[in-house]
Amino acid sequence: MDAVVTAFGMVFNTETLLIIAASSIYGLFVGAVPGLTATMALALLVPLTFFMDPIPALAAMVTTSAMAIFAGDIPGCLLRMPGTAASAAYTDESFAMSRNGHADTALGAGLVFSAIGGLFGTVVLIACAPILAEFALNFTSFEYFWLILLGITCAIAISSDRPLKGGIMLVLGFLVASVGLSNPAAFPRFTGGNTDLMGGIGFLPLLIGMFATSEIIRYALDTKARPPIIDQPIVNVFAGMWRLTVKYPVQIVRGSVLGTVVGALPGAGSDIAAWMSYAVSKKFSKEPEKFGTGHVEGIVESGAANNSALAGAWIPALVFGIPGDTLTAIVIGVLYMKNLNPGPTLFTTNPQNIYAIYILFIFANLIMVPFGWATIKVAKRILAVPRAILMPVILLFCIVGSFAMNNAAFDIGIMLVAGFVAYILEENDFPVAPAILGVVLGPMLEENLVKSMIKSDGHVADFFERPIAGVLGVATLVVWTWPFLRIAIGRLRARQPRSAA
Amino acid sequence: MKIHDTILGLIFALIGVAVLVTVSGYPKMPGQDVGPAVFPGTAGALLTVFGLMLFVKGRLAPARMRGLVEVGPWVASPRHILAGLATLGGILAYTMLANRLGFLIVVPPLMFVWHLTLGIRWPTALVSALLTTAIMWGLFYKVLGVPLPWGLLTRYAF
Repeated sequence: MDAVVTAFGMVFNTETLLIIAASSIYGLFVGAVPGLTATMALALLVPLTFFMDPIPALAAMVTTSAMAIFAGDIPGCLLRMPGTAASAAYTDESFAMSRNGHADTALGAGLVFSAIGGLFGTVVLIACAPILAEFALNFTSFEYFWLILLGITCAIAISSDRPLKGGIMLVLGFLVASVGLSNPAAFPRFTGGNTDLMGGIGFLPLLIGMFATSEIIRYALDTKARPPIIDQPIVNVFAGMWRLTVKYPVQIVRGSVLGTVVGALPGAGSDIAAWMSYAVSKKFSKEPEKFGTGHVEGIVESGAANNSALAGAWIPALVFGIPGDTLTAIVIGVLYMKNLNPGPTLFTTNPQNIYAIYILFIFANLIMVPFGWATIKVAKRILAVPRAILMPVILLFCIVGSFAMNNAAFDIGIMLVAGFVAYILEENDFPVAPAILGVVLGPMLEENLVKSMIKSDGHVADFFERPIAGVLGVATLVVWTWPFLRIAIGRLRARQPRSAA
Repeated sequence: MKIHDTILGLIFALIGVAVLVTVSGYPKMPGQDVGPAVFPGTAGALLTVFGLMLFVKGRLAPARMRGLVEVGPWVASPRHILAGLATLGGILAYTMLANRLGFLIVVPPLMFVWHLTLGIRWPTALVSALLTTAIMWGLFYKVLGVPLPWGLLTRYAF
């Protein structure tokens, strides 16, 4: 109980509250401007969190991501341009609603059900994380090895329709993480004698390059004119929300559950949760023909899903140190920076930190309603801010932010290369998320592999000997061989009727 | 800029091979089965295989592109070409010049050029360039204590 009281004190003090307010405004703004993503918002925040205490830093990250994911709905509704990838699933729907004169309902549903979804995800996080953590206390390197492998396999299988390209990105991430001295043998790898590379490729410049600089390059080369803002008076966004809650309770719960689960799976985050929820909503709807014509049902369900995914993604991140999505991959980097190494011990040694994270999540989703309402009120003015002025400012921030951690110009070079490569690869349909997963999980995977190999003295059977490790290992192998298994099962089935006849 | 999967596949396969060649020279750890070569070596091997798979897939897939490389519509617009070059060149210029000349000397012209190439008119560009430089410098140098380089102005540092 003492820990809970301490946690309240850690969150509700002037410094943290000011940071929460500032990051709310920042997250809402970045989310609302098309072309500035939630991931970018978080990546650009990292250089600042470097100078904060752990809890304020986490407060900034939790609040910014929650706000940015909601605010992504705004330009989708008014411009038909999703502010963040997580809103893309229902952009056409909400734009159709505004064209029909229901912009307030579309935005209101986005806001209210985002908050409800976010709170639902938080409740699941609070309920599940400690149980899983207790379970994970008994994990050895064998379990972690398989868990990481299974996680990244799922990430690639689920998160993209291009598993081969996702796989390439993941492996590139592994290789980037291999550079330098920080490996179990402390042998300098891929440094080419360059002293700057001895310490490895910095996580921060890599993040900024991949998620911010690449967007600026894309903007600079974008020749498409921006669509005009739809001219609709937004009167009362909260009107009719209670009616929608009563009308669509199943959809709200279903979206929240699916979102939390998808979020908790490594690699799949809010955007995939929203796409899946929208599809599920349409499939089970009583009026599927109305979808796409400005029908609010899908927005209710997938709006709840993308925000619940945010909290869901924190479950594996906190318990195992395995990120549930790109945003938590960034958060894990920050946790390590703050000496709050994620893992089950975080729950036993520093429970007040975990409670503080829970409180932050609840608080962020509650204040999202008034802050979001205010943002919708000034939405047209935010959308009118010329991006041609914003982009150079962000670019300068990228440069200074990359430099800030190690005070090294070399890091700015890394940011430039990462940004350019990410831009080229994204243009060619390579998903970026697996690469960042590879960078975060590569060192963990290697460490657990080496530990396990030493313990087992090279015997592969030992990797399956412990019960949980065995189950995880077999599951991983099944997922890997699934395409072949399916063909084999198909052949067997085809043979069956003949033999029966 | 679209590049055909066959080319990208080959590039990745070559990177994979280069990794394999590099790690083949890494030492073994005494008394252990896994040295520093195992992890990047596996990654390199996977990259080679995946790259070759992408190459084959690209060969088999119906041609959607006219050539092997397809540039976007920006290639026809001088302003967009300039904007792209200014973005990449500007970052490079900063890394080369900032230490020698100083943050406060390099950044304002850089910001000014970036604004212009993105289509902002010069008076606005000038004001925004000076203002952002001042704010960014104040935030990072004064508040957060990041040692942004003074360069030529070291004598006047405050």
